[in-house]
Amino acid sequence: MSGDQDPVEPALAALREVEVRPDHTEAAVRRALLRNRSPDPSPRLRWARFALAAALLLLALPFFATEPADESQAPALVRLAGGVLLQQDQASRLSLFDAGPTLRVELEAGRVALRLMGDRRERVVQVVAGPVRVEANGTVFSVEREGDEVEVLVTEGAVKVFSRGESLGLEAPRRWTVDGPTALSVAPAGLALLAEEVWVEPLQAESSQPEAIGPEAIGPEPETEPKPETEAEPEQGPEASAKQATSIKRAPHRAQASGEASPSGLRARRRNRRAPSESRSLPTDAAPDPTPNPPRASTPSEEPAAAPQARYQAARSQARAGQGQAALRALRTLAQEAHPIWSPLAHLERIRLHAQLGEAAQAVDAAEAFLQSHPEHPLAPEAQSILCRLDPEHEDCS
Amino acid sequence: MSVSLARSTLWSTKEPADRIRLRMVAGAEPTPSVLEAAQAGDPEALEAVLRYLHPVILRFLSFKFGAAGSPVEDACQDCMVEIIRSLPGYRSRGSLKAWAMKLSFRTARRNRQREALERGLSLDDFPEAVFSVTPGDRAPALDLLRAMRSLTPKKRDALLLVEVFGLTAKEAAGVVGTLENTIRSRARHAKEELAVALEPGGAS
Repeated sequence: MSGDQDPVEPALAALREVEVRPDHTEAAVRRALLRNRSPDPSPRLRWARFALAAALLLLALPFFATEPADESQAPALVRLAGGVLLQQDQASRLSLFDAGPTLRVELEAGRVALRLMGDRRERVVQVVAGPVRVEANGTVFSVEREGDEVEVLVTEGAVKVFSRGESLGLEAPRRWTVDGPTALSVAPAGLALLAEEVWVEPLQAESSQPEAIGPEAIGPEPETEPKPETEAEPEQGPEASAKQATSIKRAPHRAQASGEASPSGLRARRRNRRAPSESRSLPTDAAPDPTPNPPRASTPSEEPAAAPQARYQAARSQARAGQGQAALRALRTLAQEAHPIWSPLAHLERIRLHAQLGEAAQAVDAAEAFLQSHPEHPLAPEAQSILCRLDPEHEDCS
Repeated sequence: MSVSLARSTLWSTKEPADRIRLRMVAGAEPTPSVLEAAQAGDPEALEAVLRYLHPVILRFLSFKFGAAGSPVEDACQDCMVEIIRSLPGYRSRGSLKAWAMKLSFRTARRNRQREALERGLSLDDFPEAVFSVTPGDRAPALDLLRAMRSLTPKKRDALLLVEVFGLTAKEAAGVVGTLENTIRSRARHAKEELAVALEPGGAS
């Protein structure tokens, strides 16, 4: 194509020589710098971020005043009457209602994980998070809420999700998210990864112990409690959640005696559970887990295996507390390490966080890198989903 | 020792970043130390980086969409603001130009005025206030832009990035999010189609 008769090369050379006038560039640069100094072009988003950060700060203030700093990232473990274990992140806020066959958890903000032990078919646990209600018995799952955004992770058993007049059964392993008014979406995920993500080992495992909260500590069911059988949306009136509820604000639970649900027992159960869960076949629509045998599983006594998990959770807590950039730094560091489980999870969390912070270009970059480095990862569909939401015309989305 | 005033050596990198006095003309590529200073927030260094990148972005958008006027100017401004915000995160794995074009490519794609860009004012001539073109280059350049309208957007992008802006196939692949070989193939097909279109009596 570069022969003497080729008309393209001279035309290309001419186009290369077209220049922008320096005075035009000068004016454009000044304008861009001025525009960058002016307020954010999306004031609503900026206000929402500020309000969220302020609300989280207000929620967290009592804990900062009463707890040592080194425990600030540790999730609280609470043992409720009847074999319900509840794990609550820092900065989360929830209320409990006990109504005989129904235990209702109203999650106002943050994240809560529940382990319903034994066969509890006679009793239903409901978690209400804004417009979403999750019902379960005999399962392990977590619910995370930030405003109207709710994420449900199921690692054992099944739950039923009610949202916007629709209901959906989720069998482990499943992640369910609702992004504002958009439709339900279910992304398959690896069981082992979700199990790690849902049930967090307390950082102060040796000194902390779950605290039993019996029915007497839990307020009676509010009169306006919706019928659990109906699939209508849970009511959200303040009168339904405010009065007669036991509000649990994250508190460390310590005891001298070791009980049935002690953290060490939990850890042992988790180790025991890990082996069968690795051999459990995933549903047909779930991608096979490429990391079913992480090195940590073969060397359970090695201490470093716990560190990435704690760092991952700490970064997520930072993000929830409004420290997005600090969380991103921690996640980037973790993602660059070669940990088979936590590096991809940290990478994915980076993508989510960039997207939440409105940093679309960075989110797309991170998603591309994720898909390139972990193309067969069980959570790759989620990375691709974010990528395509932010950049619908991306090559990978056509 | 004579000092070469090649574009990339217009700065003295021996000076501390906060005392760099930028004697840069539009088009000069910032040295690593100036880039570092811009990332650290030095306003003069940032201006210099933008002076280097603005012509690249404006030309890229104008040629890509074959448009001129306010839609392109607005899109270019959006890209510049995006670059200012993202510059601290730039890691010098590839060229600055490729990085900026990648950001611009995506920003323009998300731009609310994209429709205006695509159906916007056609670049039938280079506006005097914006572009500087020698008389000998004007006609063939405009012919080429007219002929490029017949290309698919993907081929047009590949041709522009590789043949006009001098990116490597790897860099261009990073910009549009595809494989190197795909870029090479698209650029080659684009040139073949343009060769037909630009022949006397051709499609253009």
